[in-house]
Amino acid sequence: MNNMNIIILAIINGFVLSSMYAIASLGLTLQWGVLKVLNFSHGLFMTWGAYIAYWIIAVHGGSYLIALPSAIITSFFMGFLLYYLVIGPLQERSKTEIVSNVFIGTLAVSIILENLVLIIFGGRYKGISTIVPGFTNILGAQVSNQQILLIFLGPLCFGVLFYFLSRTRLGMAVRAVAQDNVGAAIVGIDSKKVFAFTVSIGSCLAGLAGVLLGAYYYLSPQMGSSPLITALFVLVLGGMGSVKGTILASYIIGFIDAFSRFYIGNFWADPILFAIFILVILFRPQGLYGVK
Amino acid sequence: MKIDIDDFKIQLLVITVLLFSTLLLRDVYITHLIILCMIYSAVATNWNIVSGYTGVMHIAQQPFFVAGGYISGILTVKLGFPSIIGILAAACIALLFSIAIGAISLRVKGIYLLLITLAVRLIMLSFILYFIEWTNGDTGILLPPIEVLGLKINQFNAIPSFVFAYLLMVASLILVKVIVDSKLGLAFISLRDSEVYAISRGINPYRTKLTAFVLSSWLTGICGAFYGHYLGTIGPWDLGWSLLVTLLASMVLGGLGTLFGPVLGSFVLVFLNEYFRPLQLLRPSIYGLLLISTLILLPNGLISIFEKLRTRTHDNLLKIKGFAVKVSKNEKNG
Repeated sequence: MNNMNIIILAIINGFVLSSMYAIASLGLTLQWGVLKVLNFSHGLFMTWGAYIAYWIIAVHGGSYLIALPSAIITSFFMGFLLYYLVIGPLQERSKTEIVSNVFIGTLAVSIILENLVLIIFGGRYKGISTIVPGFTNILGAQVSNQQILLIFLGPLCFGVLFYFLSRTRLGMAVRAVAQDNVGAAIVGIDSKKVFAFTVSIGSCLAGLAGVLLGAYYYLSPQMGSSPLITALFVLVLGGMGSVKGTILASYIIGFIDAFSRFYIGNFWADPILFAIFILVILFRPQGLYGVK
Repeated sequence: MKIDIDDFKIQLLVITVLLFSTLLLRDVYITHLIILCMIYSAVATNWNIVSGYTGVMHIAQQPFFVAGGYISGILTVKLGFPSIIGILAAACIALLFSIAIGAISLRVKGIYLLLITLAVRLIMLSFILYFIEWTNGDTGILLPPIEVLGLKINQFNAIPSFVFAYLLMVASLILVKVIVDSKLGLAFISLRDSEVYAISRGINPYRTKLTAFVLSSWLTGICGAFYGHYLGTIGPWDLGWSLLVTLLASMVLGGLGTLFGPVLGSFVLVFLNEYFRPLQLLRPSIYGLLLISTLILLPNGLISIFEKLRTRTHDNLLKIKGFAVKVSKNEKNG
């Protein structure tokens, strides 16, 4: 029976991790798919989302109903600034060394954002209250209601994003620019605005992921760095820029992560993931869904 | 005697005189900073062979550097070898590392290569944290000074360290200069500028890139070992983002694919960072802002300022010459 319990807990944990990985990496996928740049400050956008929620909930006594929207909206505007101040000019001005320039540029942004978090909130670890309190008993295993909420939030985000991309005019413009920048310009789409909007939407998702991470684990200025690495991994496995692939990949990674933590031990989970990461890049760089 | 500022020997001489004249200040702290700058610029110069001249952007240079420091530390502290053996082993381990990592990662291009080397860095970090009896885990290794001919080289013995770091930097510069002037260097540059054309002229891209990778690694390993012995410690924090950003930014901000760009970049970065010390907590933010603004305003690196200045004076000279020609013509006609 005890063994059974562990399996159920591992499965539930796998669903929770997958869901969070999905939310954390969807934004990154969108940004890569449309702009063809990798945003290494994505992790710090998660940190900022979490700290804004902390500021509203723990400092001002607000609820998640206020904290969640305000974290998302702030992230939206920060993403806007990120595009117009950093990524856009870098894309425009650098010719051959765009990979290294955007890499350093976004790393510099994350240095700034981490430093600001440290100055404003301090370096001590912090926690916020859970989103929904209480526990539920599933087949003899104690599962918190928050975990159940998290399990459903990932697919929900995917659904909303998918609907947005496939049904709305703005979403279609985003897809058009991702497919062919020049062609989109010919039919009258301002690709710069779409770029800025995409970076902002990606940042929104990062902010949301940050709030969830903060509620599930704890808050620290460095909290965004390990989800960022996982998000990069999910991005590659799913096929750079494919939203469907990202979802599938995040569930695969989430379950590998959860089960290897239960059965092989906490330490070896990360090296196993990195080794798979290298193998995927070597033998299937287009990932599950992407085009090479 | 005519002095040609394009002559490599004269450029080296100018740098040497400038560096050694700072010793006259007799300021221990400035000497320490310059030694660090020279180590960083040696690493960035080596990195430039691959990322600047061959056009392969990767971040495996930091693992080479840290591996050099760790292997020297393990050999001298845990196994009791003399430090010279440690330094030689650092060069060897960096070479082996570069062959292994290069053979795997050079099969892919662009952002994938960057991500593979990022994963290598993370795997190395987890191995350092796992094999605690060898690496001391989070505490890092405390390294003894390098002993050469009864001379102890570490941070409490500034002049020999200064000379050692200077030799490392000059060796890297000479290595790059020799490579770039050779046929191999031409192959590297042609791969960067047009891979298709290079292949059509009979250059094997994989083997050539691997050669660049291997050539750039061994001095980096020695730099890492010296860095460890000089500071007296090496630990997992040396695999962190801050050292990576310093090294990468000195190369990119200085100027990718230029001989003296990385040197200029590392000196400017380290000394600007010191200059902003009064800002205390805000310092990393200012540092980040500087990185971004330099990247946007000077996409070809800091060294391009000198190029611009030179072409401007050249243009002025031409203008004066043209004016002289015009005047003489007028005089003839008149």
